[in-house]
Amino acid sequence: MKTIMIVDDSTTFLMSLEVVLSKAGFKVETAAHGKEALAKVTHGLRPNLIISDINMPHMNGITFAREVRKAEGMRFTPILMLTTESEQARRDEARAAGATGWLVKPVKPDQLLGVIKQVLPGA
Amino acid sequence: MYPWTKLRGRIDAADPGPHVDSEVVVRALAEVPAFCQAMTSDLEDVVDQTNTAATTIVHRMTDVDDLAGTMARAVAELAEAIGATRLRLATVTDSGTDLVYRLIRYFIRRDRHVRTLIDEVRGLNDHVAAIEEVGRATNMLALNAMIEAVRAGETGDGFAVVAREVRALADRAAVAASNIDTSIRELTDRIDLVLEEDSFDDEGADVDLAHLESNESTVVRRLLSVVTAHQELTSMTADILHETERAAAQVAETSSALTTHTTSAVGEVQFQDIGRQMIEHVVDAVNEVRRQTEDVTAYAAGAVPADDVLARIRSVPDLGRQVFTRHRRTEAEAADGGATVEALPAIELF
Repeated sequence: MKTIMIVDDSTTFLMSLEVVLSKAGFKVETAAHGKEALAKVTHGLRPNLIISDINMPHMNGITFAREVRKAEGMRFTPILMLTTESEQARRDEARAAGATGWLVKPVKPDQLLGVIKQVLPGA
Repeated sequence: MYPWTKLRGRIDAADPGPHVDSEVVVRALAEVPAFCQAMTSDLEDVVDQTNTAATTIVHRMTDVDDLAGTMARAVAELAEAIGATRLRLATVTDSGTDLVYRLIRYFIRRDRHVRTLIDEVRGLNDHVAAIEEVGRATNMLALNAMIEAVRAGETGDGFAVVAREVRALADRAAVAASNIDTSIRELTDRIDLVLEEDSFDDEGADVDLAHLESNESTVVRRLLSVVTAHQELTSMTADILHETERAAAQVAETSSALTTHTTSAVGEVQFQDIGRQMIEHVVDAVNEVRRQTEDVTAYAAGAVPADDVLARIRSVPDLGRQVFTRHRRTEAEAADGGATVEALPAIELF
């Protein structure tokens, strides 16, 4: 079973996405912000995919993406930014930080699962 | 920001006069419409998204309700079918059980009769023993007759012939009695073995059902009734399993559709997160408008110097927060002379 880590400061969003991804057959790990997510990676969690919000307390999604790329074995792990923001400048910033893709909220469950299949072969 | 409660007293006591520079007021309030526009756009977005999400959720829940009704009906039909079949099964089972008990009683009675007959056959051994005793006595008599014939000399020759014949008859009677005894023992032993036999073998397996049905034996007829009852039970069990399988497939199909709808409904909950962020943005903008109007009012009341007011003027982008879709598009279109601006893709893989 593949593991997906969701990083978002919205509890309702985490819960709803956890339901969608669990039903789709994924093991789900959650974190309320980039710092918590990075700590999990530092302690050995190696998700197959990361879905992260941008605007979060303590550590935003772009900084988290940049930092997580430095962790051993996380260089090629897909990172999808899932956010209400859609400015091109922020997208460029995320891409430079190592993000794999950009999704603007709200995203329909089937759309999200479609993107996951694209970036996570065999999912 | 100045403490408004303290300023309020100074403003109430103030006398706005010619010291108010209209340019300062104009510059300080110039950004207020932009803030209001941003707030309006964000709130309209919140209303739109909330409405879309709520409508979608209502549709999903309606679908879920329909599916739940379909599932409930399928389960009710299955329960009804199983209930009716249970009653039929009980009747057939009772009938089959009664037949089997009657057969058991029949075989018990038959075993008892056979054992009585065996005992009676074994009783024949007593008669065989008597015959053997008669044979031995006759043999002894023949021997004595032979002795007397020898004593009588020539006149006893005829008597000796008779005595030999009598002895021969006695020997034959003894052999016949022994044979009867052996036959009785073998026969009763074999019947005992048959009665003790409790295993089934394939003897008679080649007898077809039509032949059995033409058999007038009561036992065979009763056994055939048991077979019929068993076949009916098997058929009913197969029907139940088929119905259960069909209902289970329908429930599984409906459950799958339910899951899809509920997952979709759960996905729509994202509007809460988006709405929260938009409203936080509006709250920031409202605070900024309040601060700037307070500044202007305080300046007009002579409570705040013009330089301070001008130094604190902020525009919408200064809030450092994202500008949401509608406002961003409005701004871009305004900057582009009213031309329609294409939105960036909602999903982009780098």
